[in-house]
Amino acid sequence: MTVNQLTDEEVIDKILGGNADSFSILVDRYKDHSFTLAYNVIKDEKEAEDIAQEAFIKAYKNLKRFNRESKFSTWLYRITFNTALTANKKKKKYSSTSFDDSAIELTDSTRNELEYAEKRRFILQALDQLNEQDNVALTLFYLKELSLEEICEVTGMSLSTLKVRLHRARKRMAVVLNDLLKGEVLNL
Amino acid sequence: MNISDEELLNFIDGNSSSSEKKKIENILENDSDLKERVNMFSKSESIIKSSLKSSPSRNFTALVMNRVAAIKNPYHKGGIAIWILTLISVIACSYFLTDMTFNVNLDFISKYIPEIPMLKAPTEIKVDQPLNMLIISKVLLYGMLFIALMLLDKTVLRPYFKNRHMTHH
Repeated sequence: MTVNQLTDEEVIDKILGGNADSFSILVDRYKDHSFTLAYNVIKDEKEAEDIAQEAFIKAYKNLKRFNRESKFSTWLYRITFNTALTANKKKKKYSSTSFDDSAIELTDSTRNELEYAEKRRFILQALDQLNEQDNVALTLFYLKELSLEEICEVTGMSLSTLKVRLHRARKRMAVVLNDLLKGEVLNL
Repeated sequence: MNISDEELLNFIDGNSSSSEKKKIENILENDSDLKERVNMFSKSESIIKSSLKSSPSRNFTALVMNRVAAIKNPYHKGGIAIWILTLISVIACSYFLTDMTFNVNLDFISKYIPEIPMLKAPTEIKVDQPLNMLIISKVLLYGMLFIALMLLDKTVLRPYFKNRHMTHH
């Protein structure tokens, strides 16, 4: 059995048994999602990377306290989300606004740049209009890693609230993207 | 027939019941507006999914592991403590066990308990001879050493070689 075939539980057992290097398996496994989550809250790549690193270190230090009732990823994302929220409060740059109907201007030049980076920028612009909890809920939903119940654990929402918010946010995202790109990107 | 956005999203996610699914599929055949709405949702969803995930820098794992290495391994203390304690107890026990013998003197029997002729011990058995505990102490000593080696293996050697194995693979 290679190290990549080990389950999270087995890797955690190795770490708790004194093999600190095994932690790199978990880092490799969850760094993308953790970073994406942090980035969607903090909106800055450098800071998002610091937050994701910090979240992994916190997880490592508190691994013994991880009760294994939830998945390791759920626990890690909750740490990442809370760390990002704390960092955001310190920055005091982020204003927690709920969805509004303000349109995002689309210039002619952007209309001609429908490459990946641009698409991503538009999506992040659209996601920007969500509050932190909705943003993280939607991110986790699209990353398809966690169930709705696990997303509730990370965000602290009730299941019914999450469903309503997800539905509203997805609908809004579709409309915003449609408006933003005037149908062009949708035809790619 | 009006189909709500929630029903449409459930349909796109594949979470509709079979009857709902059939109903929407039937409507879709003739309703171009609904077809457009489904198209808008499903395409925007796929764009978001494909564009949302981002990756940190290439050396992210190395940076995290450097920080982990700088932290004193909190999960190693217990093993070392057990090992040190076991070593101390083995040394102490081996010293005491190899250095002493027991003198078992059963004279007190005749002193405190009235002699009963029927139960008098045969004269050929010398019960007042000192009983040498050497054999027992050796058994105990080797037993302790065996346990100590087991603990050493479990707490120090195995983690060390596993760690080395992980480093090389």
